Amino acid sequence: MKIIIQNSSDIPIYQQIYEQIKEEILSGKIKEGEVLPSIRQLSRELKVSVITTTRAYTDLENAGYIMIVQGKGCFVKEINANILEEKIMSDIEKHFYEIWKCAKILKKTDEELLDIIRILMEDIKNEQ
Amino acid sequence: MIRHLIMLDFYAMKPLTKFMFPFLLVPIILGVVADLGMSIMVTLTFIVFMLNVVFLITERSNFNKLYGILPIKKSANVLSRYLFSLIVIFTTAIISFVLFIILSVITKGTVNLEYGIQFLAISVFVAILFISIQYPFYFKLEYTKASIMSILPYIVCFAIGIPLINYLMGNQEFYQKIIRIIRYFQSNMTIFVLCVLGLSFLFIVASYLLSKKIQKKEF
Amino acid sequence: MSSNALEIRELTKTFCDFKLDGVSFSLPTGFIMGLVGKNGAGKTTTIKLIFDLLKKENGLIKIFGNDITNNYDFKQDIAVVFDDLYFIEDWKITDVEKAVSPFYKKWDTTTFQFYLDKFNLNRKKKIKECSKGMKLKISLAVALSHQARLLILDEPTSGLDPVARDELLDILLEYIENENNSVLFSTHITSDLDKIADYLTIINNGKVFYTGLKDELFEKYCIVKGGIEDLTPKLDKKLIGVRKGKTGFSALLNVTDMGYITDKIVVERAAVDEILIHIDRKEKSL
Repeated sequence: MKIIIQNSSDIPIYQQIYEQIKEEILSGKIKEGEVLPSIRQLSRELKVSVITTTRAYTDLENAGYIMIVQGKGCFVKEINANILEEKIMSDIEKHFYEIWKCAKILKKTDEELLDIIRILMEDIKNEQ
Repeated sequence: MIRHLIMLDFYAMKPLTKFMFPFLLVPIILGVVADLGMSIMVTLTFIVFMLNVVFLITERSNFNKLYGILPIKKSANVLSRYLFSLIVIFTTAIISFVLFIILSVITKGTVNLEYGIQFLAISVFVAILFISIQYPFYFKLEYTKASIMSILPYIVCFAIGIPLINYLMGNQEFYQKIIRIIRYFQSNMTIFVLCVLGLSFLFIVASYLLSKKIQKKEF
Repeated sequence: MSSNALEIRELTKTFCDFKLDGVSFSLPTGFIMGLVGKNGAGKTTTIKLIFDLLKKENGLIKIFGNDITNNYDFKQDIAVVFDDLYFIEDWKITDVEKAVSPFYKKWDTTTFQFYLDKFNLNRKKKIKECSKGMKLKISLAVALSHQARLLILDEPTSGLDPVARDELLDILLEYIENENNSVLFSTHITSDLDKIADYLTIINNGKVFYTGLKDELFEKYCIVKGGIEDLTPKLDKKLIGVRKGKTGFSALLNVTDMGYITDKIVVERAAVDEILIHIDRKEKSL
């Protein structure tokens, strides 16, 4: 598991931890049923307070990504394929809205925006 | 608990041990060239001085903080310091008495035990009297202040005592009584030793109770 | 088991030139609390009162839920590291263990040896030959070897270089990996606490300015900055410890008073350091 804390960032540390673990789970880097480091191990590892990691884990638990079993540890929960798709779709929507907003600032028409997207997609394909 | 605290005092004496043995030569030489009884006296006086230095060492090493941190009863360190001092004094007394016997045999061929015991009893009494007077000062004050202040009682004793003795010695009746008491003790060694030890015991207990009551409580 | 490792209520102590005035805070079991304040704010006095090195005038101190007045057995379960050592200068490190270990029922030689190795301490070295950092490590090794459940540190980082400070933070986090253990950590170097403390107690001039979760402190106070012309009299009254200069002002502000600021004023997250500086300024202007 890879977590990088940016102390200078405006995003609170618990949220940084939350987002990064969430991404690892969604991308499948951490598999279902895998054991995560305990709250206290993680806080030692990252040199952050116990309260911070507790908050990140509690948020992850509430969002349904992990399960905290008292005395046993934290496990990655099974993620329902439909829910996963829904979650990723909502991410796409969110990001697309940002793109659309930027395009409107530059006063691009819908057609022009589609062209930009097409070109960018070509670029990504070529790179790969 | 007290046992461990006494051990702590012995550990605290560690820096002194390297001075102890050269210093023990002084009473030996003194015993050979001057008087054997005197050597016992000098050894014990020297040890009282060493015991005072233990206060200096423990003060410099923040032992008062250590006493606060350790799970011990407050003021237990006062009792342990008195017991430690008694152990040191009695051990030294035994050593110096053995030394007295050995030196006697070497220099004179015989041992005057009575003379030795007399000096031993007086020396132990003087040593205990010294610490009884000094320790309350050391427990109440910082070392430097205490070492100056603890001289005061002696000065007072001299200032009042010498004129008083002069005055009383002028009184024939009183003088005769004193002489009689001294003679009595000279002929009854056991009673003399017991009296001296009993008196020492009274002094040290009084001193301990006083130290415990007045000792500095904030650091 | 009580939920508070340490609870202090209305602790008061008067000196001729300083007064610790009704200090109250509690440290929940399993967490690290930072005790912050400038030098002379009352941090060491508070810690000394816990250990009965000073006589409290008033107040209550509870450790693991028990009142500690006239009790010394609780010291079996707590450990302290002061910024100075209390061992004989001529002792070797091995002598320290010989002298101190008999007092503790739960002294564990293996743990002590483990920490000596971990800290790279030479057992034959005399105390007087040790650097400040090594002395702290000896103190820590002693403190961690009798299975204390509450560790109290008084300004431990003040004499340490950044590397040693980082090591110390790691040791503390390792220590509270066992959730029955708690740490009270006094310091004026706030960068250490920014990272690892769960709770903060800020003392200034013998009084508690804030005690509670560290994160809530930052939610409660912010730093505001602006030009002198933006400083309305109404706002001025609400600001804490204003610093005014030719180029502008800066101050601490309680978030509940955010209504008084205009959009020309910059609002920033307050660091512990800045909070200390501004509350001290406020104290002096009174």
